[in-house]
Amino acid sequence: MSSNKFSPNPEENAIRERKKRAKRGSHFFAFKRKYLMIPYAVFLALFIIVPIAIILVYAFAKTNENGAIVGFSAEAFLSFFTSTTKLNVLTVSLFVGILNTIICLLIGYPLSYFLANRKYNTNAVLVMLFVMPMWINFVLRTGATRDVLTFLGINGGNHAYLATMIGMVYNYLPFTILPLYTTMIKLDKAQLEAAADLGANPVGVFFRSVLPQSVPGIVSAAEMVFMPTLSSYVISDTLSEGKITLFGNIIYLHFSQSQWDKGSFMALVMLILVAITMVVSHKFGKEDARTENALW
Amino acid sequence: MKNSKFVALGALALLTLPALTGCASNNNVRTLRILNCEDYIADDIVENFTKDWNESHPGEKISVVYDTFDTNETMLSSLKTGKSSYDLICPSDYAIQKMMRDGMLQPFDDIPDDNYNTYASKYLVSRLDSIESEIGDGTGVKHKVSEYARGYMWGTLGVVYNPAKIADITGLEEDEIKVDMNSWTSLWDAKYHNIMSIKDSMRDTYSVGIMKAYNDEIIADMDASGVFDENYNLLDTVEFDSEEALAYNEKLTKIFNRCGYEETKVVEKELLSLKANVFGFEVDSGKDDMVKGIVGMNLAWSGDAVYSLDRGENENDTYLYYSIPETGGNIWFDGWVMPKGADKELAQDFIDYISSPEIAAENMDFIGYTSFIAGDTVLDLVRQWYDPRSYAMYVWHDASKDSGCTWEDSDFVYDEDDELVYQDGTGLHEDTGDDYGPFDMTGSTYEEAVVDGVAMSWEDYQAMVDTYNEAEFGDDEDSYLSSGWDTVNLTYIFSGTIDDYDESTFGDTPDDNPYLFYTDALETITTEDGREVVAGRQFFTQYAPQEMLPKLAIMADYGENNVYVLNLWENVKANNLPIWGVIIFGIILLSAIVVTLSTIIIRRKQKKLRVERRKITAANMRK
Repeated sequence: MSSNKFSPNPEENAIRERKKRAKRGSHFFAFKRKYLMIPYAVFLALFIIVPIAIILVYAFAKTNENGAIVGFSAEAFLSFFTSTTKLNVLTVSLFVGILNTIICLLIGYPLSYFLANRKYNTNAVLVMLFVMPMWINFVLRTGATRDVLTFLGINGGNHAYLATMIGMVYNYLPFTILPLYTTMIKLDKAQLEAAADLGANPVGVFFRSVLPQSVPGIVSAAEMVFMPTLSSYVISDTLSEGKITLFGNIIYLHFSQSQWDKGSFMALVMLILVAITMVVSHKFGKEDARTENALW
Repeated sequence: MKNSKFVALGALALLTLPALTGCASNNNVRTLRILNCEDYIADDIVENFTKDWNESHPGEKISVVYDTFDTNETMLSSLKTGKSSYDLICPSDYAIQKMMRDGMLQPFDDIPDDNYNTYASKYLVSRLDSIESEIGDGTGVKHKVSEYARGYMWGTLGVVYNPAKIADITGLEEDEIKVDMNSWTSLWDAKYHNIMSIKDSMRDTYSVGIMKAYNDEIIADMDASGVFDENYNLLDTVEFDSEEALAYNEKLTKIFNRCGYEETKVVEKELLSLKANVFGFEVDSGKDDMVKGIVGMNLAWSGDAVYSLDRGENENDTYLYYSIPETGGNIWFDGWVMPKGADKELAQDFIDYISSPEIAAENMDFIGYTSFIAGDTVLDLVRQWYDPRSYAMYVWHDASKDSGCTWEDSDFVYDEDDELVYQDGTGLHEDTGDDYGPFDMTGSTYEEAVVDGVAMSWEDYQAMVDTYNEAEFGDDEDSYLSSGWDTVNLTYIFSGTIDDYDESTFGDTPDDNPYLFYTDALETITTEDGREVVAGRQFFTQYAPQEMLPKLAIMADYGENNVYVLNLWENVKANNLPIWGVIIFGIILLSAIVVTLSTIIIRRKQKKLRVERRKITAANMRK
């Protein structure tokens, strides 16, 4: 049906009139709600998509000494998978990341359970205390941790791994507590009571009701710890006195020595690892969580 | 729809454009862009230069943009990636070579009578002359670094150590420690396990590895050269710049610059065992760790050593020492370079300004590193710092020339460090309490000295002080030395930079040669096997002893071989998962697999049950 035709129906006329007006307006600038997205689109493109693209390009690029791309090269790829040193560093990073995640969960889980109980945590002051270190600059905090540990006799010289793990757990514990706490606070108390009434002992209540309900919290807590630990290097550098080298250090080393292809390739490896973690954990989270009540 | 998006983006770009171009539109103001290392210039120098320049060039105006970088490597990669352009940059020797090779630099004009050519230490310039590089023009012709760079600061790499602290931990005698610190191999010694921090910097730590790996070869070369005595000190009869000495230096420099594949493998082994012996790697925390006593030894650049030694003494009563081991080590330079496209005139004006001895001394006093510039003011500063003879009067006398104040006008006060200082029109001047000797100087002015009420010329005053010193310490050099004073020779730095001096009249004691210094900061220790070892503090950090110079080598840019050294460094820094780690990792992975599998199996079972139950229910329903 052609829109130019006059219709006897007054309602149709009104619609056509409105459309006309809208069309006139669009000759200048018709504001639409979706234009509000433009700043975000620009941000996304500039700071996320373009950098990733650059990493991708440089990872497989051959560069001359001024950093200009002159061709394709798989050298970075080969040098990564043939270098036992680089693979060793990756293993150590994965180990530190996983261990840190587990320790943080082991400490954070019971802690958040108790904190979510009003009996122990009136006014949520305690939660605040546990989360407070996050307010202080991360580098300063690590420097202070080094001083405290040195005072206690634990230092990178004699206990490089211990010092690093303490620093890691201290730094990432708040990130575990927050999501777990928000999940715990929303635990369906009626379900717990029902489980107990139906004859489950406390252990049964925990495994059959509390744990399944808190899986989304655990998943986001694990994500929040594992991913940044994998790429962190300030903590290990400061607390192990440079004796433990994580994946982040070695990436930095290659960039600072103008080995952009190798640095980019390792950054890409890290990106892929993080992506895998995301996919796996989301699969886990979705299977069990019917409600998206995690904070992160 | 697509179009409107582009319009919006275009509008955004248009909005930001004027903001970007706005600063460049004002043509009356020229800009000098300086890129320097962090904390590497006295506070007000840049500001004063701008003021001076604007006053001396009426009708023109400049402004200075001053930025900093933290390491040469980050500076190089930011220059390569970014579009930022600077007129003056201050990298280290090897980075200058690299920039020359990449064709990034333009040469300085050679102006014979500018401050740099007049006052820069002749010796240091000759060292700078000795390194060269291609300039990226494709011809492969090598050019001298000194054409493309103007020296700024220089120094050495050595070991700062705290004998008292180490003695405390290890139970060794302090003298033994001081003797040990005269050798690079001591860093590998299990006696000093877990006491020392080394640099988390590829080149510096690599240079130490070289000195250890080729220690025997270096010692054999020293023996063969015939210019060193049995203590590996330069023979008294051999000048530091004699041909034999230079020939030895060339030999050492070759060893020092080894960086081929085979050689890096040798050094790698050494550095791995060094890593096992040290407390840790550090970049910047080492200075404070030394002062606080967290570590007992630290591989340090001489300028950082000055900072540690000063702070240790002033704040913690910790007496730190600095040693350049007897087989020698690294001598390094930082210098100013002009990238292509720089405002040459302004850049050279700035170099001229900071190369005047007054500014150089101010700079040196502020940042603690040793200036490339010699000249009278720097000499005065060094004398004021280190000569134990009475130079309080000297400083006061010098200051009163500008301020015109008399002795009574000067106000003696204690500063926050409880050190006696005096105040006059020119500000605070440091001094130590007992330096005025036994004399009452009331009534003294710049023109004449009044000593105990008797007016005399300053020359007579100086003679009087000398007499006093002779009476106190004896009249010959030996008794100066016997009272714990050594003579340090700085001729190599200052020679030829001070016009007022006629060097042919100089004698060979500090009394008649201003380039020689008495110092009470050296200790001579005789070892059990009869060798004499000198342990030094501040003096060695500022100026390497003259007899040490043939043993100091410049470490050039590795060039193509950088990949080998990088590979070595990666291997040194990386570590395997320890055995307990492997076990824990294994357990974690195993239990993860078990949990996942069991969850899947349990779910399947439950599902089966559910299906069966539903079947039963359905069957029941049907019934």
